[in-house]
Amino acid sequence: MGLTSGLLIGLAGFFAATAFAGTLWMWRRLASPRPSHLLARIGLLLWAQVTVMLVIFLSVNKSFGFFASWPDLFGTNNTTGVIVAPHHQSGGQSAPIRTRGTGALASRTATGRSGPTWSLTTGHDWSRYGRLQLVRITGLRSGIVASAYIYLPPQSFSPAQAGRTFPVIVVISDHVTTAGDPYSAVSLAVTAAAEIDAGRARPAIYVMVGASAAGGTGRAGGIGEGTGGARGAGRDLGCLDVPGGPQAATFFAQDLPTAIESAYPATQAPAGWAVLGDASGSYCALSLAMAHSDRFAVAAAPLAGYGAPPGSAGTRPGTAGWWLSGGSPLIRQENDLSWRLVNLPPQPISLFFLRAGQGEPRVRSGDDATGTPAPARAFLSPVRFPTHVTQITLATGPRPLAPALDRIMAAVTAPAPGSAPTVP
Amino acid sequence: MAPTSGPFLALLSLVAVGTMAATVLLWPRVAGRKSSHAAARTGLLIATQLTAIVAVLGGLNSYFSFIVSWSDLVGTHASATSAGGQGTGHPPVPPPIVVTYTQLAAGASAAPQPRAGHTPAATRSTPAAATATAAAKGEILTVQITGERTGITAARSYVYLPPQYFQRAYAHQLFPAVLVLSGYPSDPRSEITRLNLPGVAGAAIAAGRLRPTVFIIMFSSVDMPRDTECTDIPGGPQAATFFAADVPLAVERSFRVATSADGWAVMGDSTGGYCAVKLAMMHSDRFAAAVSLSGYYSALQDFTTGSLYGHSAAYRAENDLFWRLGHRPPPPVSVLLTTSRVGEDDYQQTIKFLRVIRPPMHGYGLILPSGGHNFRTWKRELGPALGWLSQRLTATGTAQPPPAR
Repeated sequence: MGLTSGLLIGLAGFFAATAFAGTLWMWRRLASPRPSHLLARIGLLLWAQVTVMLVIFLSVNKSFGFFASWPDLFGTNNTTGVIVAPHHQSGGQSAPIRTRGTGALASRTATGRSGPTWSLTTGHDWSRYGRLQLVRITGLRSGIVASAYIYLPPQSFSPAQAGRTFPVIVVISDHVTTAGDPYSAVSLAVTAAAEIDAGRARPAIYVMVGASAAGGTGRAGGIGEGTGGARGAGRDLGCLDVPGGPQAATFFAQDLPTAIESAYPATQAPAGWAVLGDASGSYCALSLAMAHSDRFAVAAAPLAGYGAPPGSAGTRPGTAGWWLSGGSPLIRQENDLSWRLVNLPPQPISLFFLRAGQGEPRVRSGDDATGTPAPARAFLSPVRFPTHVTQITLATGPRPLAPALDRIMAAVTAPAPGSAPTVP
Repeated sequence: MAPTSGPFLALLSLVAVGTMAATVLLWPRVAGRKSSHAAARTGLLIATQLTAIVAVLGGLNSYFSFIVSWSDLVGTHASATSAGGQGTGHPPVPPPIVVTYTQLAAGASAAPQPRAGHTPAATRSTPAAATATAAAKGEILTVQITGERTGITAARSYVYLPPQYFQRAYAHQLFPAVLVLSGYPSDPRSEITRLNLPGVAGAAIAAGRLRPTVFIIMFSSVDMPRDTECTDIPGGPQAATFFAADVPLAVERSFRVATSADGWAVMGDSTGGYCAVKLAMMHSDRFAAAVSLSGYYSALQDFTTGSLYGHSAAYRAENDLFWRLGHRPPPPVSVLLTTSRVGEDDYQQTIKFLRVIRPPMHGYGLILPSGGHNFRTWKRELGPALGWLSQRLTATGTAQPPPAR
């Protein structure tokens, strides 16, 4: 009779019931002080206890499956198994990064002008000012495929510095391809090349991705599948993992870093990774650092870009905010950066807020002495150690982001892998 | 008086024996025909049974290490996210890992038992002699791990350092790391006392079947008495972030372990097995492999867990491993799933799960003819599982600069 058989439990139950009833039935006949009666009482009580415990043990064991059989119970079950692998289909796995175009950065000093002008050429002299590439990043885990521009600093082509790893700035902006915009890939690459060349910014790898591009195309599990997918296409996902929908956070925090690390000399340490957003990518940048500080230690965004996740306030069924948070007000709340700053432990990150330089709108009423708008002050007031907040005033002129890149690169560090342990 | 302590078990036994003795002695006084006597008889009989059952359950709880502290039952809620003060001064940030006790790993059936107020690591002197024995036997550290990002503190955690960790030849080596999560409810110490993980790992390393590996042994629930299922609970403890971000980064900062996914794996039994596969599937950038000893695949929610998914069906689905296989790209991880043909409820599910795994994810099964949901079964599976893990943890690396020990 098996240890987990119903018959055994039934039998034990029968014994328990009869022992209980029998004890009560015999009670009055064993009430004398005679030693034999005393012993009989003890025996009856023990029998009643043992049988009821047997029922409990057998039922609990059966329901939790602790012991499968008698040999299992007595420790004599020594059967072993071998590890089997079902037939593995050979992978049709696409490379995480495919190059679709390459250009070199160049500098020309035009006569009669104050400074050098920079441009992108079709040359191949990458070791002077660096290289700009257009690539396609395929997210293995998220299924998201996105175009990205990669700027590699000249130092990464130096044979003398082979083996060196570089910090990475991920730029998230809808203006990556907008000619002339400070956040366009060419402008950023030119600014980076100029700052690195002048020794004002440490060399770094720049990865420039469109804010909505990451939500625009997808493979399994999201886009093109049900209403969620239709909603996700081309919309601002705020770089969030949408429950049941596109997994933009997984793309930015897992797929993109592992792809970059596999293809370029990028540091693996989170302290070496920064994320920069413009007005369209500011929530992305801040939320990635605040929710994935194991991947991004630094975030930079315009002063105005913070706070609530994309989608209108409220989580009424059918609204974008409802869909983005899987219909859960609690998830919506966790995606609210102001709520995170107040209610979650301070993250080990540095936040940079970018403010326009001179010539921009002056201090308005409600701003404090430093020109920080009241809403920004309210957002930043709960910030506490180890989170750091710094404001950066952008430059005027053709390369406004230059001071930001200098400061961000000063904040990220790229320690050697396996830096000194602190305990044993 | 801990629920597994000798005095507490003695007290339970005393109550049971006392009730029994009282019943035997009072027996004649309630032997009348009155209905009050009949009621008293029934009451006494039930009392003897109940007290005996409680005593036996106490003993079983101690043996299986289900509930090992009263705070497990009532909860401390200190581990939940805390708002803290908003002062401008820098509060002292506690080190992510505090060592509270150290013992040699050899003959590891002796349980590491931290004493209250034991001298922490800072003052732990390591004379050369002690290091020499550690280099021969390995060490088990009792540690408290605090999550920098989540605010979660896991007090009862253990780190097994293999003998090689202390040997000169390996002084610059980065070791593969395996996070081991015990089931619910349980004491992670069972992985040492009942599964004998350090002993089996030490033997496998000595026999060349396992590369010298560091094991971090933790309890899968981070908010007792609640079963948190390694989930980032909306509005609650962020258990997944704790295990996938806080713990690996804290361990990487404190020990000479690999810092890339190909040097990290996660393993667990029962709930810990579900956790292991889920963490690897959701954080394949962190873990390259997972071993699930008698785990399950569905997103559990019952009276032991409370609300885990923010009342979102979509978010619950994300935590269902079958749903993930059907709706998300297969992540680049390898999983080893163990079960028994006889004795485990998850046999059919495991076979089905293995069948729907697609590359770049790879599934392996270790299926015993029979074996229940217990440590003896898992102990039989541990050796092969460690060998399998060793083949998947391929990270090589050296520590710079050379560490002190």
